[in-house]
Amino acid sequence: MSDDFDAQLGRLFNQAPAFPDNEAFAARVTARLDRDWTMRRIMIGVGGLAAGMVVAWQFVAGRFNVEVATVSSDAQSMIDSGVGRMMISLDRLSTLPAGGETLWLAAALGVAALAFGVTRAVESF
Amino acid sequence: MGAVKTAALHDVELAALAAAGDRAAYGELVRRHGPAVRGLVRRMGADSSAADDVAQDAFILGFEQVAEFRGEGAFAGWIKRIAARLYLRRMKKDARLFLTDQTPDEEDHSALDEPRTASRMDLDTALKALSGVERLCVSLCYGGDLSHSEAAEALNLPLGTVKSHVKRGLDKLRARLAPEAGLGATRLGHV
Repeated sequence: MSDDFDAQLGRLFNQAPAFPDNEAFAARVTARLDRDWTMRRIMIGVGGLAAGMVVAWQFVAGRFNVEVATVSSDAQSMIDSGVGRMMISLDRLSTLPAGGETLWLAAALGVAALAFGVTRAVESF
Repeated sequence: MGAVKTAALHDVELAALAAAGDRAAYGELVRRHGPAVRGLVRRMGADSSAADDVAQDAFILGFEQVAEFRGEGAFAGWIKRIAARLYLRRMKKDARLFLTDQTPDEEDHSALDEPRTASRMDLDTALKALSGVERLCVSLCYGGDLSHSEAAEALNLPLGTVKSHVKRGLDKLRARLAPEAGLGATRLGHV
């Protein structure tokens, strides 16, 4: 008897009451699902954009650092080689018969020309 | 997917489509099982507005978890369990879950004084004769497809207590819904 009543009660619980606004209820749920889905897509989009910007920034900053390092390295090697060549030239000049005197004479002429130029410039003001 | 096409599909197929993100397919499930879920939450004791809110939340949560539904049982049972647990959680959160044996208001009793015949079975009216906790226990076990153990866990009550509430609730329902059988059971119980 108890089993019969249990089964009967189970059937009664499974008989859903009729709701005249069932369609409206379903529409509300699906509208909320759509809204949540749209929000989620926007959040994913914003998150993706932010992540993309971070990656792009990291990439650009990384490339910039590499470029600066390369330029710096190139410039340093150019300066080093230039200084090296100049030292070699100076060494060669000093090995000429009148090398030392010629060098000093050229320097003196340069200083004199510079002084003349500065004097003329001061006079013209 | 079109409404005509989804209407022809089985719940398991609709759930599989929903798991793949088909909201229209899930909408058909909501249309089919909305009344059962709303009815269960009302039978657990919620007013119509709160029941609709809980049912709505249950379906939203169900959509997020629908990939876990493998079709071993009925979709109605699966979603009703979600709704039942959600309603209990909401009651606990709102501190409205008083698991006492307090009987319903006098005015509710007066409406139930006259036992109904089998031909006029009205479960919803008969449930009003139960105390809050009896109603919850019976609704969870018979409407929410929860076992006694699961109901005990959901209500945070000892298993024996839940069984007692279910038994007392069933006795009251039996007396209301099947008076002759109820009298028989009562006699047997007291001999």
